[in-house]
Amino acid sequence: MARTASLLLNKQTFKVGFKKLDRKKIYGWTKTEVFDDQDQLCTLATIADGQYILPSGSIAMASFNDKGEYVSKRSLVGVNEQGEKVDKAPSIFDEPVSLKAVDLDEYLTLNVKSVYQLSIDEGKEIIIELLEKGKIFHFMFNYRSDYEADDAYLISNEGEVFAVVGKKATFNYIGLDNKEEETADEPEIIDEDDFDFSML
Amino acid sequence: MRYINLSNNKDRDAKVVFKSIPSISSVRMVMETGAFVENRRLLKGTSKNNIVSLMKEFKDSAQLANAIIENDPEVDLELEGKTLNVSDRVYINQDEEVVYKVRKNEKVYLPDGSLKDEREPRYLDANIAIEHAVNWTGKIIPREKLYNKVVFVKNYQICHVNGLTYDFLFNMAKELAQKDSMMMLAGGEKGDEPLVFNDGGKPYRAFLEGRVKKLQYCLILHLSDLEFKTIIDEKKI
Repeated sequence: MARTASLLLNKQTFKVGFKKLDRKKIYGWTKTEVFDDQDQLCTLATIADGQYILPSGSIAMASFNDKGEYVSKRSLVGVNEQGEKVDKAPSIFDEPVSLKAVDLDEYLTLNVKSVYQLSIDEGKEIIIELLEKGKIFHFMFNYRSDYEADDAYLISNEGEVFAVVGKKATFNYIGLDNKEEETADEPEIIDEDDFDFSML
Repeated sequence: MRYINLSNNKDRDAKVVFKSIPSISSVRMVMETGAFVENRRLLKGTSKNNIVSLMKEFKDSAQLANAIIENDPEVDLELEGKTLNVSDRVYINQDEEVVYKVRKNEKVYLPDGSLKDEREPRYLDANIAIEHAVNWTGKIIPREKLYNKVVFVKNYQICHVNGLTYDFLFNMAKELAQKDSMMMLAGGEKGDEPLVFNDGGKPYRAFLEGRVKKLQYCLILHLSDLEFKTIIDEKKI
């Protein structure tokens, strides 16, 4: 059985399941295969220092202290901006979270990481009714226990409830004096490992 | 800084800049003492000592297992743990050799996983800073009607580069804020194509949102390639 989370609203608890929504499930996807002149399937690899061929899985990320000694990720702790230790926020499946009504401006500043469709066994119509009146509810979301929870927003469309998960960003208002200084173009690097789902 | 050639409701265009606004993390990972750590990319192994190469070198897996126990052929003591700085991406064949000439084939799959088509890969050129300005389509949609229809997977802030472009963008933001709506933007020669931000990149539907506070403005370009649609089959529940 899928794990369920408890969302609290107006002293009422709603048990919900999360199913990830992505383009693949709605529109399908494309996959590019690459062949050499012998029709052998090729894969992407990294070449380092112009001589070492590094197939997938040949590179690791590791942390080091100021003496250059290896530091295990498990030994690290989270601290806030004041340098104070913070506790891990629980997984949404372990503790109930409260829903709080927010305005559209806040939702529209979200840097989206993932979207879930919610399955709600009881009380779905109550949530839908509120959401269809234009309300948006915010809650904190951690799929797994972690030091920093993401922001999540409940949205409804066509009788279904969705949770949009990400991190709020601060968009500043800019005036005449806040012009951007012109510099050289820096095109974004495209990771060719990404499947392109959008070219159907 | 990246440029976008944007047109307004009078079909006047100007090159302005856009930038992503990252979300700031409030938690940082440090050592118990509070000391910071540095993250590095390290080399774990190369094509010469990975399992594919070793399986070819040894006759069978039992021989390879013995060699691993006795001589550690999977470890290159000179290279293991080397910090990686500059690296490039290459294609390799099944013998893990670099390939210089490749042929690409694109397979198109339906949501149920069945193969729909095979074709030459499509390559889309960027269309945001070309001679044809990004088109102010006139398709204006109230924010209240749009926010729950499409997922805004990326947001960019659009900014002016001089006094003239300040007026240009401020007026756009003001118009959109007064109507509490977003304007659909499109690219290409006919001004009806999705926006492509990088050569070879993905196409996105784009919607411009404007906010105004006295003489300051905030123009946010929302990009979407996903709609809020159900993926839960009620019949299976």
